[in-house]
Amino acid sequence: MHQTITQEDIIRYTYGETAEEETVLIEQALASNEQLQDFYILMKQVADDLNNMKMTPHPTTVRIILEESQDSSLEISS
Amino acid sequence: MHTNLIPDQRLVISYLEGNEAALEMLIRRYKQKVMTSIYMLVHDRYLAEDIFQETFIKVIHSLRQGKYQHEGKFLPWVIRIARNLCIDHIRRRKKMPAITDSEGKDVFGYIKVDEPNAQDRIEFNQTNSLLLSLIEKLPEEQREVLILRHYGDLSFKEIADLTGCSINTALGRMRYAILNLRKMMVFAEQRQ
Repeated sequence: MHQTITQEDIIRYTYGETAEEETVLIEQALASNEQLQDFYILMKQVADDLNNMKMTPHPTTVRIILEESQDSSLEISS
Repeated sequence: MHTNLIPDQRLVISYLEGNEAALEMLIRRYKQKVMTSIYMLVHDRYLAEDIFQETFIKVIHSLRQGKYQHEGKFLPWVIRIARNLCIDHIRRRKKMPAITDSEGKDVFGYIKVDEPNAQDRIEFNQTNSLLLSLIEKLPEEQREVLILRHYGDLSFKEIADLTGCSINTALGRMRYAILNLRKMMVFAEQRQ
């Protein structure tokens, strides 16, 4: 059966949302279709850039959460 | 045992048994993804800190009340809570009556919440800073799918359920987000 692989399929493939059989078909399509290859490279590039973009909460914010947890734990046990 | 090897579910159980360190491990494991997601939704560092705090306090109470049913999806669950709190905040902000100055201009108009402030920019290098500003220019629906899929680890099916659209629509929004980002990047490079 012939199946047309779309950019949406490439997106699902990039995020590991394709079944085994579908994955094989997508990899075959990627090996022969330059437009799909370009889109896949773009997807990977954006995903890598997003992975590098990280924001960390201030330590005080985390400390307040942990204190709240301890306080509410004491309330439950008392 | 390396703490990253302990599954989320085990940490949740351990926390509910009284081990406070287990919660700290869960927060440490996901704090960057949760914080980055919140920041990208509200575009304000201080507000993002508040919503991050509110999110995990809600997580604590929900865990203690037995409201969390683990299906190997702790992070998506936390991200759903964070997203709902962001939406609540945005709705509240929209309902706020306009406070005007002597010339009748909205005073909140002076505050550019859409632009990352100087302190936020320090955390990112030049490339990331550019990408961040481009993501903020994406239509809300596209930006939301990008954040929920990439940082929140929600599947497209889960995103569709959460945002009330079809899987194809969620995938289409993601595709447009990627293509729009490329267009804007090319445009930004040409202007430099």
